[in-house]
Amino acid sequence: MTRSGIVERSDSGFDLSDPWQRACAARDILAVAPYQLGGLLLRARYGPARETWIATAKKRLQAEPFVRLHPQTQDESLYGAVDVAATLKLGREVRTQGILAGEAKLLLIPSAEAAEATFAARIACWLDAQGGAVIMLDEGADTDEKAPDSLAERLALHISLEGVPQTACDTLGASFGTIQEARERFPEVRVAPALFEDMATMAVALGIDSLRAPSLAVTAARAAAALAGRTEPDEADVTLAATLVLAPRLRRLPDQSAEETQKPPPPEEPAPDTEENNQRSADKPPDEMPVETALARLPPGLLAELAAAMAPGAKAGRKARTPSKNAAKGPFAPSRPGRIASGTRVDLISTLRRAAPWQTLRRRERPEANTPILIRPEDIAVSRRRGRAERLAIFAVDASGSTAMGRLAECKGAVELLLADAYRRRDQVAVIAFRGRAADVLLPPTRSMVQTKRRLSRLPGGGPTPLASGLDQGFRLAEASRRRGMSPTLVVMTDGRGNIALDGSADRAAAKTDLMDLATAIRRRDIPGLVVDISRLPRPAASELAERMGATYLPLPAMNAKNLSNAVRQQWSS
Amino acid sequence: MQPYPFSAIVGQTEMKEALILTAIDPGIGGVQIFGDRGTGKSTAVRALAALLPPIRAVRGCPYNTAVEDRADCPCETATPDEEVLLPTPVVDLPLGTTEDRLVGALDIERALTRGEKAFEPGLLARANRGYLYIDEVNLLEDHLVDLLLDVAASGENIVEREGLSFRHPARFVLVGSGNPEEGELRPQLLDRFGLSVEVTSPTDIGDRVEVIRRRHAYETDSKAFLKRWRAADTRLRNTILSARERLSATEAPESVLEDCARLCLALGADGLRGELTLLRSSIALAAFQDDAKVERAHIARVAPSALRHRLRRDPLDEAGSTLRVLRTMEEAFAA
Repeated sequence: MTRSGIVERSDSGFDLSDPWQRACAARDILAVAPYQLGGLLLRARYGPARETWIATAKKRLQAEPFVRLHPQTQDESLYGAVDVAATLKLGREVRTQGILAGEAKLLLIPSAEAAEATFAARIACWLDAQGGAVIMLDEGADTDEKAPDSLAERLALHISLEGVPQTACDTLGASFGTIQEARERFPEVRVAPALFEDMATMAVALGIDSLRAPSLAVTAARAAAALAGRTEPDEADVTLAATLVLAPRLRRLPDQSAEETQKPPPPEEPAPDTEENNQRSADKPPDEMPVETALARLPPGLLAELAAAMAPGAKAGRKARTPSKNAAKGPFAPSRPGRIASGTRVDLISTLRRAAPWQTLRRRERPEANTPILIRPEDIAVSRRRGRAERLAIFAVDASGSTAMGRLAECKGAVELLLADAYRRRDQVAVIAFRGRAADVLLPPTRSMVQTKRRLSRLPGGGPTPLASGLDQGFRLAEASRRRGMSPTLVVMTDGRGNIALDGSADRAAAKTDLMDLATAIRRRDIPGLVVDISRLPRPAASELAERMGATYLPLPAMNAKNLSNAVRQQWSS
Repeated sequence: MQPYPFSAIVGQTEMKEALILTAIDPGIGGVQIFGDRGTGKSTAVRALAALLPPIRAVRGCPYNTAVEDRADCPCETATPDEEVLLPTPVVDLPLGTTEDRLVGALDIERALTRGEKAFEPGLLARANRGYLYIDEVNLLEDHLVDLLLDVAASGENIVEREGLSFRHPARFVLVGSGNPEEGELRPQLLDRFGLSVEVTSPTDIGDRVEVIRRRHAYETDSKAFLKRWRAADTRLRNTILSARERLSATEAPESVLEDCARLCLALGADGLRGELTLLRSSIALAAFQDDAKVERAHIARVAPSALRHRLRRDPLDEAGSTLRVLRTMEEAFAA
């Protein structure tokens, strides 16, 4: 797939305001010190730009043991398992070698947005223990659909090829030979103490809490220096490292006040000396540090560009949806004795384990048998799937108008009540608020009380009613969660009357059409729903919506946290 | 590569102290460490293991049994009287572990080839007399966490399955870490850990720079870095060893017992487990600080770690549990 014949430019003067060139710079830096950097997160959908990038990356990393690993890979393949055929043949236990126990030091993980937290944790463990590297391909279609943070955080370089046309993809960058030289030089590269301060300051100014990021940025600066043939990073290397490692982790724009960030605002009450408060004070960049100078290194406009991409609701039009796979299968549970029937999966190892102790005895009973193992029906063990997939309640809340604040507060209460008793069941919740021009995902699916409190500590309210957008977001979230094997329920809290169309225009008729189209789509996809009518006098608009969605209609003029959470529980149990 | 030196960890006093206290008195129970990513949770656990003195064990024994205890050990090792020095075991429990691998299972090879029923020890055997570390404990399947906590509390692994009946010693300190944003432990499991620690990134820019600087020094020239910190680690190891000896002689006066009880009562911490842990860790702290007697100051210092995960959870209460412990302590000890 590489366009051979084109001589690759060897100069490393990348134009950092161009996403393709940034991606190329990241690729070359990764090739210099893959295991020290932990790897790279590439956010891009399938396309020529991505494929060109992967091909050129493979070329530069050709000497590394490379394995492609899909996030749905089962534990048997990751860690190895008993090879039943060989074990029986040889009469001793033979194990297959797991991918993570093998030679592979460089993993390529496609469809990383579909990776579950448990898979991410496994790979993260492997990274920590083995010192390998991961190239993670995040093909998320929405801002909410992304690779797991726990893994992404460990990878130094984060780049995106979204919206890069093929014409932009010239093969620039260092040659394999240059990279080999740089790899030899890398251990010799030293850094001045001031660099640690620079990176730490920049990280704080960008709202990055983790200390791994500035640490990795220092390493990236060293790799950049090695690539450029220097033994100490200069200004350009530092800029490159900050652009590729720190800037993409942006949590807030440096000149924004704390109120507008995703993080909770500082507490109003006088601050007792607790960890929570200490953590919050970290959010404020210290005044004496030269934040502006440090940040001035970043290419102009980059932060604004990243912030725009980060903002919820900022989407580049509708994208084609991948058809949902047969979802909600649930994870495997420990195997149980059982019978072979259609639809069951025999757990061979457990079956052998159960049969093994009796072999001598059975042999004595049936000396004429010439099978290597005597297995009886009572030995059979079958794998079970967990009966029920994780459930997800998606609340889409009308946050418009003057009564919004009270409604949101009750919704928050309901969410917390649901979470508090959802422990055993491991249920999850998500909250979408719609107001103004479009809907925002306030709380992405989670079962963490900590995150819930953090995210819902300050809720926006007021303005017109983009009900269609709210339903749209809820629909997307439900579909995304299904792809992850959860079973979603959509709870819409509305009076059923939106006045903003999907495209953001204040057109009542278009808003209505959009709404009904979405409701039909939701019913067609068979997403269970609950429409909570919040108007003082129940109106036909909401019940009409419920009917169209195939959802339960529940007029609840005196809604509060208790009766709302009860309603959801009832919906779940029905 | 050798683990990062324990003494070189910047700040994180509460986490370090909790780990040290369990090293002095493993009876305190496990430690759970919850906090943001990149705060050095796993680094601390691995560093602690490297810091601890080696243990003496029967050569070839899969359960790390000491020679004097070998009468209770079910192992069939060929050299029951030979002794070896082993580093304090720290066993990593990977998330994908099956119950078989954890508790041990029928030895398939021997069963198939020789028709013998034999036990193949699992990770719990290897962790005996050491530490069992689970990163992302909040993502581990509930039934495994349950099982682990049971074994950790009883010090014995009992296997009854597949026609096998087997037991072996499994005394270890369970350390679990996780990021609360990815989900929490069930409350039923939470309070079965002895101590609970919350970690956050250092807030002081100087500290943050120091973390990065040391990490970098360790990664680029680990030999020199380890050498620089060896003396501090050795000092700490000796303090832990002498604290272990002092432990039984450290006195806990009646007033201290009363304090523990009053505090737990005021907090509404369920059961007696909270009081016992609070007391044990106060004693360990006193021994660590070379104080002959436990005082209120010791209790005050360990109370947040010992109690914050035992409070009845109120979903609509905004204040964190640490704050609740501190406030209640102020009121309870004001009298």
